[in-house]
Amino acid sequence: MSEHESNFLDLAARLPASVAAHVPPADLWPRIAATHRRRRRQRRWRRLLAGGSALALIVALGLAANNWRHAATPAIDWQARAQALELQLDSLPTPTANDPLAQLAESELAHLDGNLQAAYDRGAVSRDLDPLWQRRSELLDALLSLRRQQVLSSRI
Amino acid sequence: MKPRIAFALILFLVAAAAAAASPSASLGLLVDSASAEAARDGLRVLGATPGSVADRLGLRPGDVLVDVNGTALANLGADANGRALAATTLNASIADLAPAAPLRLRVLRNGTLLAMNVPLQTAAAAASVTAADGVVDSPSGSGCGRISTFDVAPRSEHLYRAKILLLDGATPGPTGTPSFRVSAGTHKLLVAEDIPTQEMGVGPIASLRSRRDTSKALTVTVKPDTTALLAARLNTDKAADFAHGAYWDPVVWREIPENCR
Repeated sequence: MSEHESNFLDLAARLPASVAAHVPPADLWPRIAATHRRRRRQRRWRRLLAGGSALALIVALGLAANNWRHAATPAIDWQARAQALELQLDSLPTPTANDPLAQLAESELAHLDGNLQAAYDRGAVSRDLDPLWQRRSELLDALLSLRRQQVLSSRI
Repeated sequence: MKPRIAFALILFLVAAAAAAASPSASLGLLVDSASAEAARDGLRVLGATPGSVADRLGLRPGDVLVDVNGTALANLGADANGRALAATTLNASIADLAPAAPLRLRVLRNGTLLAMNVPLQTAAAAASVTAADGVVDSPSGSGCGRISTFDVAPRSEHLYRAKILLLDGATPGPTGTPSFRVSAGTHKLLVAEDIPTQEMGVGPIASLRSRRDTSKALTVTVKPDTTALLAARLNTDKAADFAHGAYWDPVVWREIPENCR
């Protein structure tokens, strides 16, 4: 019997015992599955965290840009503007013939002033008053441009 | 009913509706009635409606009313609601005036005390003249008229500024002009709305994203020597319907006789 053959037989005699000794434990697969699930959960959480952070960053940047825009454009004091326009209007000569458009502007102003006075009478806050003053300012602006046109055309 | 009579009647009704607010408001007088603190030295005038009795009297923003028909308006304190009692006193004084009785005001302007004295009827008559005159007869036949986006439309009817993008297929110019002279007859317009976002009842982002390309076509028939006033009407029941543009419509809200030459 050769030396190789003797080794082989020896190995063959030992093999079943060796294989039997390496049979995986019964809880191996559940442990692998549990680890896999845990890693998947961790990956999902990381993805969610990254997405959330990106979203928060976008929102923060948007808010910052909005604040910057508001800071860059100073708030208009519509009440002061309307009052300045009214004084300018007073300084123009009284129109001899009334423009129908000017009449419409005046009647809308009368309606608006009624609403504005009612707002003051009920103690409205500036958030409610500001849009009314803004509209008053727009109407006075319109009326002023009409009166100026009238003055110009009466001079020509 | 002739157009100019109808026009004058509508103006009268609008003025009457405004007059229903309070006696001082019926004079076109806007005062700071919000607090007793604001009215400590008298009732501060915030404005006088152009063409109104207050305007004819010469009242202007910044004036302080210290006396009405012998009744002091300074240091009156607050009423039961915490508002300036001076405003209630002013309203009561005006309401008690007989039609021919004089309205006497003492007004502080830049440190100078002024006296204003005018019979209420006279001032009212002078103010109401503006509502009746200035209407031009409209000749029939061909001629010219105007299409205007002049923004004096009543907000109470949900009418807002409109912009004309195309007038008979061409860009109307110059930019920023509110009125365009056109030949009498039918004209095709492409109109965009300029409704303030806060009136829409939706957030600014939704509004910005969704309000693109919502211009609408409108056919307008312009009569000779008539100005057709154009506005964007907000359909409040469909204010969020951007997809179909149903939230607004271009409308001719008023036609006024006006010589276009």
